[in-house]
Amino acid sequence: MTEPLVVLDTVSRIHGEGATAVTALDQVSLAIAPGELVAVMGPSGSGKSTLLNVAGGLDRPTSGRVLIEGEDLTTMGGADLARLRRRRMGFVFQDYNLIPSLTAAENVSLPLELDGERISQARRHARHALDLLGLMDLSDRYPDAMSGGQQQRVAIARALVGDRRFVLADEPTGALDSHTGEEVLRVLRERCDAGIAGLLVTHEARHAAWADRVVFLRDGRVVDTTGTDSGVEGLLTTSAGGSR
Amino acid sequence: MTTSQPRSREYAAWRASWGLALRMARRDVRRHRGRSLVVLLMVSLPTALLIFGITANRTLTPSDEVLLPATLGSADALVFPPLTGSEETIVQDGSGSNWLLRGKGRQPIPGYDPEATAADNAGAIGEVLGGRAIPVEDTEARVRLGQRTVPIAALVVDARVGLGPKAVLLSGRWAQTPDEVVVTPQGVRRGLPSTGTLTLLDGSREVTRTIVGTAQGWIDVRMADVVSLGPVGSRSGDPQSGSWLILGSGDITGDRLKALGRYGLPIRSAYLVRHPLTIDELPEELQGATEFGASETRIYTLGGGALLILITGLLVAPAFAVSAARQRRTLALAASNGATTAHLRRTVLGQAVVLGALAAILGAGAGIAAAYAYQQWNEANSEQTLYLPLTVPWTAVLGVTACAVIASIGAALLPARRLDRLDIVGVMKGQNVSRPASRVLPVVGLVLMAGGSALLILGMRRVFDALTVPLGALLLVLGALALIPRALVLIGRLAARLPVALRMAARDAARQRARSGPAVAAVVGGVALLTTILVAVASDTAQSARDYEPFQRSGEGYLGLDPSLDASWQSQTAPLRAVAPQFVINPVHQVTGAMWTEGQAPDRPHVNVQIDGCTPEQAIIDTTFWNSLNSGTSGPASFQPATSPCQLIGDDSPLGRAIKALPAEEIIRRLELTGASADTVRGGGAVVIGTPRAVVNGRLRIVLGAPFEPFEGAEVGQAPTTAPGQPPTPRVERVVSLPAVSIPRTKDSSAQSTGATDVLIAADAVDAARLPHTLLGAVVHDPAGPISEETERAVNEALGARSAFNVERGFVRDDALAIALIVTAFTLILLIVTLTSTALAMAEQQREDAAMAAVGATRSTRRAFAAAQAFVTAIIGTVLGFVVGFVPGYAFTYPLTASSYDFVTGREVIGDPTVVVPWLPLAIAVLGVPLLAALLAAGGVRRAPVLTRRTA
Repeated sequence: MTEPLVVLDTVSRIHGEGATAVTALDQVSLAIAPGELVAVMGPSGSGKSTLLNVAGGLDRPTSGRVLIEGEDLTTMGGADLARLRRRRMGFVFQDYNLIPSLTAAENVSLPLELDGERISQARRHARHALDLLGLMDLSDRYPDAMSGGQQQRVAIARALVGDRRFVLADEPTGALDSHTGEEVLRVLRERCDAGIAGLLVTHEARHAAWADRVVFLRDGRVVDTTGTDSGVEGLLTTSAGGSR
Repeated sequence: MTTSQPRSREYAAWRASWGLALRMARRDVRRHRGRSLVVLLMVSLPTALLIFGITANRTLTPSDEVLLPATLGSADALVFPPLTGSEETIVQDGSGSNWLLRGKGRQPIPGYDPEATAADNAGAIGEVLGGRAIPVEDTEARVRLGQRTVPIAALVVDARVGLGPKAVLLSGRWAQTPDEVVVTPQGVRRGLPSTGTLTLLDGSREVTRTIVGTAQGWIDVRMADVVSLGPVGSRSGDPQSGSWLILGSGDITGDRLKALGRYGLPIRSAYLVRHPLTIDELPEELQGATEFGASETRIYTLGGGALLILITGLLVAPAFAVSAARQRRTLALAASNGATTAHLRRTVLGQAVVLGALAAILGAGAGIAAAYAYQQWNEANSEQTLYLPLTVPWTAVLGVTACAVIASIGAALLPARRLDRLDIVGVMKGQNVSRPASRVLPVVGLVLMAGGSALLILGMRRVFDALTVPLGALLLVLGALALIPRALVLIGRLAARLPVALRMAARDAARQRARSGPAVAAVVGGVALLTTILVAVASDTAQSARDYEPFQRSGEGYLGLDPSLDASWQSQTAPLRAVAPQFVINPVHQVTGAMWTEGQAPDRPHVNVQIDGCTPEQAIIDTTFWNSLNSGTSGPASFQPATSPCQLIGDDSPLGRAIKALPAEEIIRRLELTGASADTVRGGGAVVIGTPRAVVNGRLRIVLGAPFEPFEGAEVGQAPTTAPGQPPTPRVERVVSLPAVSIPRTKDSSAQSTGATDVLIAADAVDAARLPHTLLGAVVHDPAGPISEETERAVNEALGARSAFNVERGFVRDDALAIALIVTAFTLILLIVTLTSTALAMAEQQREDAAMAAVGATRSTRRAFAAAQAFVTAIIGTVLGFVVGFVPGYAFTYPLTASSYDFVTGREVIGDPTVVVPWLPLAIAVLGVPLLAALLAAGGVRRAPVLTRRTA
């Protein structure tokens, strides 16, 4: 069996204290293997984004462990976490979050440049990443001169540039039309098929269908997990009925 | 429906809109205290500085009206004696100082005797003025205080009549006889006793006066040391030495003044000082000067106001751009709910009105308070007690305050105007990019810069008047400001190869020109002004250093002696010997026959050097030269001082080149003479410095001429300043020939020969040749080395007020403190501007925090980005500002320093300008400010990028 690249071990995340405490994640465990794309679904406030943030080291769990390639993120300092984000994982957000004052190539090479790589080398890696996504022609364009789909693909390129092994995508198609959204997910799927691990937060079943596995959250707890073969539509129907 | 109803509705809507805008502005000021504080500082600081300057200046240079209590007290007028020997009437303006002779026809004053004293003529003057004339005189004398003699200023007046604030009794009583005096607090401060007796030195006599009280008594702006009823000093009480205070005459109006002009009486009228004549009411002859003065004042006032508006506008503009930018979403929401562009503009302008008015009032208050504090400090630290009440020029203060409010509104106008192009949909979607840079603006900028440069070049060549250079500088700076948006775009494009933080900052500045433009413009304006000032100050200092003529050998001293004292050489130099017994002290005599003092007829011979090619007669009066000069002049107005080639050294040298005598060994030591030159001096010879034609066949010829009356308008020892007419016939009494050597004039030899000296003669030779001479002072040196500042201070303390001892220390710069203050003030202002813009940039970039966090940015990264933002904004501004400011700096300096003094010829030299760029202080501004701003911006970042904030 393939060793998991990402492991969340009984992770809880509680915001606030005492009477105002809100449990965003409650004893969640999850493992993602290289080449696997896992979708996280659930209603608003179920803890999807918190799960993604905790898995990416943007947020710290109140209890439990998060392991990336065996390294425990919960024991790491801020600088180590930032280094990890610069080198081994990438994020894709719903509203792209490209830096408006940098071109597509510069946005993609940003984590490498921040990591101290020489500009020319970082730019070479960036162009390669853009090329993989069919965006070479756009490398010198600024974000505001690109469509939403193009921007999101640039964001994916940025999430994949260099030796990244883990991509976290938070509603990456939320601001896109259906066709472009499907295109973006296809790219993500291809990259996972090429060996990286992916965690996709979405609330649309058809997008979750691109994943190898779907984890369903409610009130911070994993209420079900299923492979796409077992029928995501069925899970969603049950969820909507509120019986789980 | 009538038309007035819509109008009144429009007005009501307008009023309601402004009411809402001002209400929102007041709340916004309270909510955003940091930003409001920045605006308050930016407006109130320059306002306070300007008002402080105006108020302090007006306080330190009081007007005649402010001085009335000290000059006239309760008198209606102060009348000066009529000009003797003239038959002309006068026209005047009533100030007592601005009058002109008009023409023949003066009426005699009944009972007035020009040869009598002011007291004797008081009745006649009072009769003509229609009041009681009180003789008043301000004079100087010396008093003995133990072993010292101290010069004092005395107000001689009978104060018993009641002169109001001019003379106020503090204790005791007023003098009732000429043998009594009262002492003022200023006199007591200077060491005079407040009781007992006072010993006055009257020539060689000592006169004792009894002190009967203490009182304040004013001589114009300063307080007298004593108030006396009887004459004080050797010339006190002479005819023409006093004036009259007029009591009970009623107001001396313009008509009465005109009538009194027939008697040739210059008058200072209290009424006319308080209610000056208008230009039309003034006599025609006086209108021109008054009109020029008024227009000059107008120009300076307008210039100051314009400068305040420009600087304040530039300083405040970034803060208002911040404010408008941060309000964009609110304004877009308002627009989407039906607010018109005018409503939106008022919201932004409302802040300018509220903050501008508040800041201007605070600034004005602070400026006046600072001026008051300065006046108090000045009063406490001045050696003199001066009549300098705090004078607040309220009209100017109101004008400056209004200018500050206008500047605030002007600064807010640009962001307010941009609101008519507010992209509501874009703003609501979170888009935030400046519109494309204007294509017209750079062209306008280039045209302005070209025009400004042309004016500067013309100003340098003195083609137009003095306003050409300031106007050219203003156009140049305005042109540069217009080029800033395009420059920002260009720099953004050129930033591709820079490290990511600098690249982002440069691109951000280019993209967000609405925010970065005003900040960069403010920095450009500030640095341009700073560069101009520093280049001008440094160049002026460099020229002063170049023109500085040392008066002594370095580290050696000169003791000036008072020739009016009858004290012996030994007693006058005793304090030096007491402080430093090792000092070598040698007397300096000037070989001269014409040491003319006021009131003394020039009855001693003229002593001049005979120059090669000139006759002895020409050494006395060069009639050939003066006659040729007369034939070439059209009148007195065109006559300028000129030099005869035969009168270069001696009593009649217009350059003041003198013949001096020192002990032979001292001459040899000072000039470092050796061999034959030293032997010549030891043998009773002379050294000629800088005028080789004075030595013929190794001999110096000194001509002694018979006395003659000075030319009209001339003082002895000075070139005539009016056409002399037919010069007197010279008469040579005798010619003294001495062995002499000639050496060239250099800065060193000038210092070695005690300043403006062309001939040094061995003292023994002067006595042997029976040349007339006068003791000037003493040259002093310490065989152990240079005289220290501490010793110099100690000697001066020992000497008291009787004479001064100065040690040559070369040119001493006195501009370092001024430059440090200027650079510090500008640095602070530039930092505030830069950091304001940076703070906004960082606030706007919070949207990008998640992206930065996602790619592994840390707090250090954020710090680097903040530092880069501040650095880029500042460095663009400082570099552009330096380039733009250097040109007017050069242009201002060129004409100012193009004329300088040639120490060899003693003449003005035209065409050798000194332009110095003070690199260190400029580097502090150009490089130091960006680096410091970067450091502060980085230090201001306290947290890492926001990691988990929801961005959608």
